[in-house]
Formats: sequence, C-alpha cells, structure tokens
Amino acid sequence: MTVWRGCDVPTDRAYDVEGDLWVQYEDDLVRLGLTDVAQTRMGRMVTIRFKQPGRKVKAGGSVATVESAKWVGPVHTPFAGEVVEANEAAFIRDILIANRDPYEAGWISLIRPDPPGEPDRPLLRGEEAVAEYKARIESLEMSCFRCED
Amino acid sequence: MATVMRVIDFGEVSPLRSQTLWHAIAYGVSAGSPPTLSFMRPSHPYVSIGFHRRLGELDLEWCRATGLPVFRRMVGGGPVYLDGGQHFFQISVPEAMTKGTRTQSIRALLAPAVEAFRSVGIDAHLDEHSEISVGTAKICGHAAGQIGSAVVVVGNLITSFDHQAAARIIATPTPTVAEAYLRLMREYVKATPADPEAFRAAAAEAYASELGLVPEPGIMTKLELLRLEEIDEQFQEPEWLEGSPAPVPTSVKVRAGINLSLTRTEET
Repeated sequence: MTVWRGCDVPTDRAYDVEGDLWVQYEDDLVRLGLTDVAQTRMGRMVTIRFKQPGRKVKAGGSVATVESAKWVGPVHTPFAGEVVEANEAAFIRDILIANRDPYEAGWISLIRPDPPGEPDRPLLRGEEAVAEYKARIESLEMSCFRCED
Repeated sequence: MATVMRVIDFGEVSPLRSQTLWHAIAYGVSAGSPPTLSFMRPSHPYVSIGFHRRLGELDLEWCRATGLPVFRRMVGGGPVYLDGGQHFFQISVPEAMTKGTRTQSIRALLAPAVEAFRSVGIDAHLDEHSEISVGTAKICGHAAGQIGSAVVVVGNLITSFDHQAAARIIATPTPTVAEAYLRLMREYVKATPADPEAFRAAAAEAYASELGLVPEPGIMTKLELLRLEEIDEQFQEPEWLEGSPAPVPTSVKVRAGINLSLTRTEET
C-alpha cells in the first residue's frame, strides 16, 4: 500500500488511472471499483444506479452512475463485456460504502471482458501505477479523505 | 489545449430543447469541441427532474392537467419548475480542466457566474452550501455532472419566479406541508430582476477570464446536431422519463440547507 497526500494506492491491483478505477483480475472476470482519488473527488455519495447483471457494456461505457450533492457522473469501464455482478446490495445497506472502503467492500461491478484480457486503454501496475497516481494527485491539487461516520 | 471558449446564445427555445441543446453541447465538448458557454430560455413553462430522482416526487396529475411537460435531465438535483422568467446558462469544459473534488469544481465553475451577477448590480455570493445567494435566499438554481468526459454546470438568472407554480409541482402528503413548502420557498428563493443581455455579456467575460480562454461566438457542430436529435428522442421516451427505482424521499428541499420533512408537518 502506498499513500500519497492521504490517497491510498494499493499495489496489489491494476489501475485505469485516467478513469480513476482499480481493477482486479479473478480468473476470467474483472472486478472494478473507484479509487481513493475517485471517492474523494466525488464526495459523499447520495445515489448510485448500476448497470444490471446480464447487460453488455462497451469499453468506455458506464457500469454505474453516481450522484453526490448535485453532481451526477458515470463510472466508466475500460473493458467491453458483460456485467456479471453489481455490488448493489452493499450500497443499499450503506450508500457511503465506497466512501469508507473503496478498495474492498465498496467495489462496483464484476465484468466478464469480451474480448478477454487487457483492455485497449492500458492498465498500470505496481510502481508504475503509483508514480502515475502521484502525478495525477499533484495535478488535481487534492488530498484524499474517507467518510468515518 | 483549448485557447477559445465558444459562446452560443440560443435565445428562446422550446422546453425540450432548453434541456437537450446543452446536453448535446456537453457531448460535443466531450468529443473535442472547445469549452462552451451557452445560454437559452424556455418559451413555455415545464418541469425538469434530476437524473436519479423518483418521478413520484412530482404531482404528475397536476403537471398533466396544467399541460406542464416533464423532462429528466442527466445531471443532479431535484425536481424544478422552469419558465421564461429563468434565463439559463451552461458551462461545459473537458473533465481534464477541473481540479480537486467535485464540490471544488462546482464552486470554481459557479464563481464566474457570481461575478456576472455582481456585474449587473446583484449583491450575490457563493454560500457555504455552494448556492449563489443574496443574503439567505438562493437566487440561482444550479446542477452539475459529467457527460461523457465533459463537466457541465448549469444555472440560471431568475428575473421572475412563480413560487406558487414551483411549489405546486411537488407531491406533498398534506395541504399543511404544501403551504409550509410554499412559505419557505417564498422566503428562501428570490428572483433578481436584471438585464439578461448584460448578464450574458458579463458571464462570457468572467468565464473566459477564469478559464484563461478567448470568448468567441460559435455554432453547434455536425456531431452535436446529430446528438441533439438523438437526445430529443431519448428525453421523450417514457422509459427515460420513468428512470430507475430510487428511494422514497423523506423531505423536500427548498434550497441547500433548508429542507421540509414530508413525514412530519413541522420544518426541519
């Protein structure tokens, strides 16, 4: 785990830095979630609407739409494929789950990529991802924080 | 890197187009059009509801009976009554031009509007709830979001405001709550009569200066016009209007920080 200006960047997964998403490969599936930077930028989530299991998505398409205060924005997937699972139940129990625990309990969607493998937009890993995220955090002029209550 | 801020004044347009035009512009900015400041006002009254909100928050029967069209927008916020006394502005910029949190982005993109209000003699400020206010009253309705990879913040200069109509569109459980809502709205939402043309000129100057761009009058691109036709259709589809199931609200907002409980009759 690397922390930069309060923003966690766990090194056990891949990142779509431009989209502020983390990616974990699980056999032929990929789990997607918001990074600490993404949840901080969004602020306290008010609503989330998921693309439901069975739905096809295009690379760059939206797997969910989130709202915080008067802001609505998409969660873009770098993968084309099919939504296998959406973490809707967790957000129904606690709408702030991604604000509190973006890298574990607050994941967003499980996707079966089609075609399988890496997306066109390259994912970054390890030190390369950390370096890119440090640059992004500096450029955004921000620090991260989590919801605790 | 953009050097120009496109400025488009659509003038008076239909209720549908007063929503779909700026969505199409945002898609254009997402696809490479320059940052754009646009203006328009609706020819007739209508109702707009935020992307995630329940249609049931509205008194749809009343809206139908009075001929008020209802459109669901792609940005946030609750249900609002809109009419020709409200002069809309929208700023659309590439997401990469925004910094910090979304709240900080919204505030940064509302600050030039505050300057424009002040330029036309209105003592406006951006309050702690990110509302453009005079004293404790909100004077500008705003909403924000990301459409494609463009960030858009929309707002309005309200030269006249029909509080009665704006309160009446909301579904309330009892006449007492409806009366309380109208009373709060009268207290906390105010019109600021000012010259719309002077406001538009001041806004163009303030936004261009804030973004470090040169304002230039422009028109829609071919791609934006195609997108406009698609969004026109989408916004009239019953499925789009219905939206997805969302939680039943327990309160109705008058302005940020002022909410009225729908489950009790007293103010909260």
